[in-house]
Amino acid sequence: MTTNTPDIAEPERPEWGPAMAALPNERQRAFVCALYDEDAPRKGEGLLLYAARKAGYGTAMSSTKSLSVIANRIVHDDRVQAAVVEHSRSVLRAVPPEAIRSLKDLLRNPKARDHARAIAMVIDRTDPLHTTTTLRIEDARPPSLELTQKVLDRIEELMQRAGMISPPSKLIDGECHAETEQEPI
Amino acid sequence: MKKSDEELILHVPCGYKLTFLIVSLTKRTLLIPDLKPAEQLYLLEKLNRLTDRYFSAAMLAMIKPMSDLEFQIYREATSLDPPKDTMHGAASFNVLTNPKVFGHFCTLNPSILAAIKYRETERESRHRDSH
Repeated sequence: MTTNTPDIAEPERPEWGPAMAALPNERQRAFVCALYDEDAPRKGEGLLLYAARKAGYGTAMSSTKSLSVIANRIVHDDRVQAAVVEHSRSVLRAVPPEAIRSLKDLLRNPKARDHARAIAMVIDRTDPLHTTTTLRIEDARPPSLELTQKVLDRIEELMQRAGMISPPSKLIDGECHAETEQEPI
Repeated sequence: MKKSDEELILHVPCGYKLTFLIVSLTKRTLLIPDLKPAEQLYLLEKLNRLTDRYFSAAMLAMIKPMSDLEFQIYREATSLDPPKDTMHGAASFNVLTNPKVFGHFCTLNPSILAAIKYRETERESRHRDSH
């Protein structure tokens, strides 16, 4: 018998990251995943115990105390801790849709305490304020000797052009002799 | 310029050299046709405050406004001051009070030299009177 319903592929096993893949068995991976369950209690309220039980550690007869010893041993394993860090990142990446849904709920509820903040957040992200920074570099160093001399020369030139001083006379012919005094013998 | 004039100019303290020039420049500014009465009063008050024991009111009255050439030299000197000058015009001060440059101002504006000479005569007469 054929059905019109499209084939739904079997849910594939997740592709684990290197830290999760490095865990020695599936139970440890299940332990890490159970830490992020929606139904999981908070830390300090039996989270580790819940994760250990969910991952299949212990037996039906195991006491809470023995299960918590097992859970503590697992969670303090370096490989499990690395896997927790890695899995946290991937879980965090999946959060935005939910965050957006919550934000939308907040925006639709004008009586909510943070309604105005939510509006501001959305506006800031869609039409952010532009901040312009002007960097002005000013050179306040005193002028160089060359520059000062240039100005002095220009002043002389102005005076000469106005006929207020005559230009220095040029040396047409000149010979220089170095004379040495001869000491009397 | 005579030798004695050059010596007289040489003995003018640098700060007062600038005062002579500022007076001359301010008087030039006062000649601007459309200057508002408030601006005129402001400049006249400034001029009035420049007098002291060295620079008398008579000397202030003697100095004539800066000519175009003097103003050009003045602007050349002030061009050395950086735009946001934190040195209060030290660069232009050094040029304007340079003996040679100040000598040019005295040549172009003989009233400055006349004021310097007037000050010298006054000083000598005071000296004579005290003895």
